[in-house]
Amino acid sequence: MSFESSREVIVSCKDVHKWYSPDFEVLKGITYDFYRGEVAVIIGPSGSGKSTFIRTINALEEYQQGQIIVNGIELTHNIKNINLVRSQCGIVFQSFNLFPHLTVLDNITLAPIWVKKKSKKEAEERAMEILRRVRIEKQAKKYPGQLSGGEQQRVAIARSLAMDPQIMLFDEPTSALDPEMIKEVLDVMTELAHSNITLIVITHELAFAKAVADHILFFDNGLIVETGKPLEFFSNPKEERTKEFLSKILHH
Amino acid sequence: MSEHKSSSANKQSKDSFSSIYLELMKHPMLFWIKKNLFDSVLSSFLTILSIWAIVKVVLNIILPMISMNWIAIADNLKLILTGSYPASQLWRIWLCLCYVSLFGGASFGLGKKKIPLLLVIILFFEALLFLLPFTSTAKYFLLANIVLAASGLIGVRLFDKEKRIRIIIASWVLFLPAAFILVYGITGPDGFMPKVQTNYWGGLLLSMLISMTSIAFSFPIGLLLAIGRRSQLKFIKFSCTVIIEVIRGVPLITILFIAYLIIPLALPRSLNPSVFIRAMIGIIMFHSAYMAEDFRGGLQGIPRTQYEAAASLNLSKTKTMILVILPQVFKLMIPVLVSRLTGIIKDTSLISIIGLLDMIGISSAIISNPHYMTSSPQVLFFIAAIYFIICYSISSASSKIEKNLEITTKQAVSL
Repeated sequence: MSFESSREVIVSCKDVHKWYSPDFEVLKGITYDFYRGEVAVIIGPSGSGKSTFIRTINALEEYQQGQIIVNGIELTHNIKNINLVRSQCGIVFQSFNLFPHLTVLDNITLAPIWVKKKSKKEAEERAMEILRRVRIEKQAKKYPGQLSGGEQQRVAIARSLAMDPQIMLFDEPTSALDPEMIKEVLDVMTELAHSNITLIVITHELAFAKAVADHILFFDNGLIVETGKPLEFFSNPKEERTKEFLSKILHH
Repeated sequence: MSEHKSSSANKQSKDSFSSIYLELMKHPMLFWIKKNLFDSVLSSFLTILSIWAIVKVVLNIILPMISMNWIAIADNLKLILTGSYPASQLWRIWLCLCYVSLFGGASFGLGKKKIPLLLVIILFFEALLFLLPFTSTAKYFLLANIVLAASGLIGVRLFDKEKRIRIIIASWVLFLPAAFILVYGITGPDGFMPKVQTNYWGGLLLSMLISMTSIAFSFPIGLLLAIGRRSQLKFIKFSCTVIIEVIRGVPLITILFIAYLIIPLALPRSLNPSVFIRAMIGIIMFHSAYMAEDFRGGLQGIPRTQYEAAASLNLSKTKTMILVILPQVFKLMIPVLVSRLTGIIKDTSLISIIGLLDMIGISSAIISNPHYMTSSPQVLFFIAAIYFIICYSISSASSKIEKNLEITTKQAVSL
């Protein structure tokens, strides 16, 4: 993979702590570096803080202690920095979160037109290009409510891609989908994995993780318990907690 | 033996009765009547009760109404509709109406290809107006209105789709300023459009001007108050909450009296706002607070994830509001907003209490004239009919809009 040669850190987290309330610490000191172009898959039980963690990278959640540097920009309360980070860092949510009052095409062109100040024509051409890439160009004039879950999630991916991000965060993108729709979304993500966008993916699809990921991170109880290359991680986990978790989700 | 015979005959007749009954039930209308009106003892009782009530109403109210002497309406038609607005200047009000007809027709033309039933009904009512004793110029204007509505309906199709919507939105935004310029006038007493002071405005004209202005102002003010109440800045949140709650805790009549008595004290003497302005400020204050609560409800109906999605696309807070949140809020709120609009139109009748001669004020003046003393039911019926036609048109127009937006509204609810 290209990232192996460059080894350029794109997201750097140092001892990140987050409290929802004084006695509820959700992130208990996360230190990890993501490299440019890599695909990192985060797994872990629910409530382990993995979702909160990737949302802090996009400044959708604040953190109280530590440091996150995204592509050379430190995330602070400074709104300028937050906007800069968000302009390079897209996120795809579990529940799609498309704008229901806009057509698929308008969903995708909204931010390029109003944030990046592209002309309508230019934005629409780019949007159609991306829609072809995620294979739903025929649905461009429909409203999100007229699409299946898998199609909606691909539109959501297209909406993020339209902002030309360098990093894409996926927060359990297939958890709300029917089994037969999971594949079409994973296919799109696999295709993205071969581009030079950095992907940070929370998922329970272990087959996808094995096939596509460069690194696996195992989260539990607000901490990274174990990291490793997929082959090593799945065949020979070191920590007891990892073994327990893997045995549970592999044999359900 | 004979006993046996008679019982079998009895049985036979019963059978034939039930077979006749079954035969009858095959008729769709009879079946419908049985199923919907006489299905159980209770429903039969209610059916009979309602038939009795309908007969009573028709015999005692509707029939006498037809035979009533409607001279009071005929004599005072101009008063009821425009108050003491100078008769020579009535063409200005007709021009306003023509504006409404033209763009009203055009707005209807936006929808499907078919001519909407509602428009036919409205035209029917306009045609009924010919029966009223208008002067001949007025009848020409009425005719012009109908022609304009029809040409608006057809003419709007000449423009392409995006232009249509822009033209119509612009025309409705410009309507109120245009109407005020026309009604108030611009020139001195000798010019072609002499100024007419607000105390000459009255009747339906006054009611409509006040309620439309109140709607136009209380809508944005209410929206701002609602957004302010959800603000993260404590001071803004606190002051918006206080304004909303204080106004909502006071009856409209009290607010009107306060506006009438206190606003002149608060403002410099030279300004000396007319009763018209004072009443309008009172009504706008009152309805802004209620609108604010409607909007707050609508804003709460939009899930937090929509804000997050917008934030992750780097849309600023203002742009998120305008491009993502408010369009969804408006769609969700059409029914609430429309009932608020009709509410404003009806509540405006309270201004007669502070001495303005709107339709209610005029009608009590007419009734107190000994000449028309026996005509009070007619006058009230007439006014009620006007209010009903206006409010019913608004609510049925809104249900049409709602249906057009249905696809997207459903999704907003389902998410």
